[in-house]
Amino acid sequence: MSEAWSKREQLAADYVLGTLPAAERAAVERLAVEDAALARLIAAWQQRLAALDAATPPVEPPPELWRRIAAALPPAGGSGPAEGDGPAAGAGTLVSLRRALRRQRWATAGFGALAAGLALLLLLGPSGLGLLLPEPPPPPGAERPAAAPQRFVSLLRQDPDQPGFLVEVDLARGEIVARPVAPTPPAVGGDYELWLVDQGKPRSLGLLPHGEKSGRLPLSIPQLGKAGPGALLAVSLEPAGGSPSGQPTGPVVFRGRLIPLPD
Amino acid sequence: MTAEPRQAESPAGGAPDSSTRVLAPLLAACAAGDRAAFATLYQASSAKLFGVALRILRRDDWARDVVQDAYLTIWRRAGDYRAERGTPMTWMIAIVRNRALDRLRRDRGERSLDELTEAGLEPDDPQALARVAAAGEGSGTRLVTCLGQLDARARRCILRAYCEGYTHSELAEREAAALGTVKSWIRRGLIQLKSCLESREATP
Repeated sequence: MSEAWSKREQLAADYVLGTLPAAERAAVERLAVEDAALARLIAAWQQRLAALDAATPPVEPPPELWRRIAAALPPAGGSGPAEGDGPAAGAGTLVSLRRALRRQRWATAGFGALAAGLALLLLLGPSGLGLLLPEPPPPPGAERPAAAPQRFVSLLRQDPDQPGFLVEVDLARGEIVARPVAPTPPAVGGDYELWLVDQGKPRSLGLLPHGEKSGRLPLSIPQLGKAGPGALLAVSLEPAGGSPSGQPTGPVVFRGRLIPLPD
Repeated sequence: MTAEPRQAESPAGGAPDSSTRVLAPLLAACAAGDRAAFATLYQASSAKLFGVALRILRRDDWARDVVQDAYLTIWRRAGDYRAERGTPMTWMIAIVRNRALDRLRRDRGERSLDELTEAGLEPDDPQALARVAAAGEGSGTRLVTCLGQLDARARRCILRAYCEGYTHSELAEREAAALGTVKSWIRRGLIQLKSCLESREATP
């Protein structure tokens, strides 16, 4: 075993562990571009220690961080590859994403987790929606940028690894496009209803398609664009035809934060 | 896109994990300049990356800078991602770690060792180890078992270095040991860790 411990191995391990001084770190990175063996050793150490990162609790960054990143992106349509401008810009992605996900049928484990989530939500009752979707307090004097974003996207998930729908909101066109990115569990005896949850108050945006079909919904809440930075979209399971009361009555099966698209 | 997106195989040859199935096609779309994919990628990964940055930096403002910088790098270099070198999440975390460590090395003077000791993770905390064991679809259990076989000092140093960005000399100060001694604990610990992990991968 220790004869397999080369100088290269030591360098890779120290690099991944993070103990090298800045100048040496940079030198290792430059070396690894040319030295495929070193790059492989680095990747192997990253993989060995990856569980330490997987175990690190996720922390939702403040909404302002995405605005900073979007604003710092190089302008669109520059030297990059051709890029659509309309809501279909993400279509290529979705084709490949869905293709990749198609193989991932709802596994038994997934249904188990879903069932547990449903049970919890049923226990909590209709008010569970608000409970499970805690609103971060609006930042003091939350300012809207001068040019308010016109397009938003939200990846609605059951848990971080189980995406259900990708929802794009286009204020200029006045429509919401919801595409299933994975085979969604059937809405047994009912319908999926999409909600905007802003300041803790759910408002219906309409019913979503079942199966693998995309759906377009007219924008029933024109003020959606004015939703606060903590606004969420949620999907609940409702009786066929939608919630009779105008408020969610069934369990929340997917949820996601609404984030503005960079233009 | 006509070809199926490349699937990342885990080094042990297992099936790609569920986050890989989502993130790999998103990275491929980012490489083609798709901004909607980038926004979705951010949504699917930012809480994890921010958590890792906070763990290393312990300062909200630094973590925000580092994560911003990391996502701009991810956007620019999405085409460099190679499935055979690890999962998309590991690739993105490596970018965040590098930025975070650069920031620490640059501004280390501002972080006192006392501050670190107070807020620090206790490498022997059974709860922290239980979280690691539960993570990573089997690789976490192996890692915790193998870490458990190391000398306690080596284990502490390895965990503090990886999780909190300690340098050799910070570790020496913390352990009240000579620099050379700490380096050799770590070296021996890593050699032992590798051989333990490899023997367990071979016989799952």
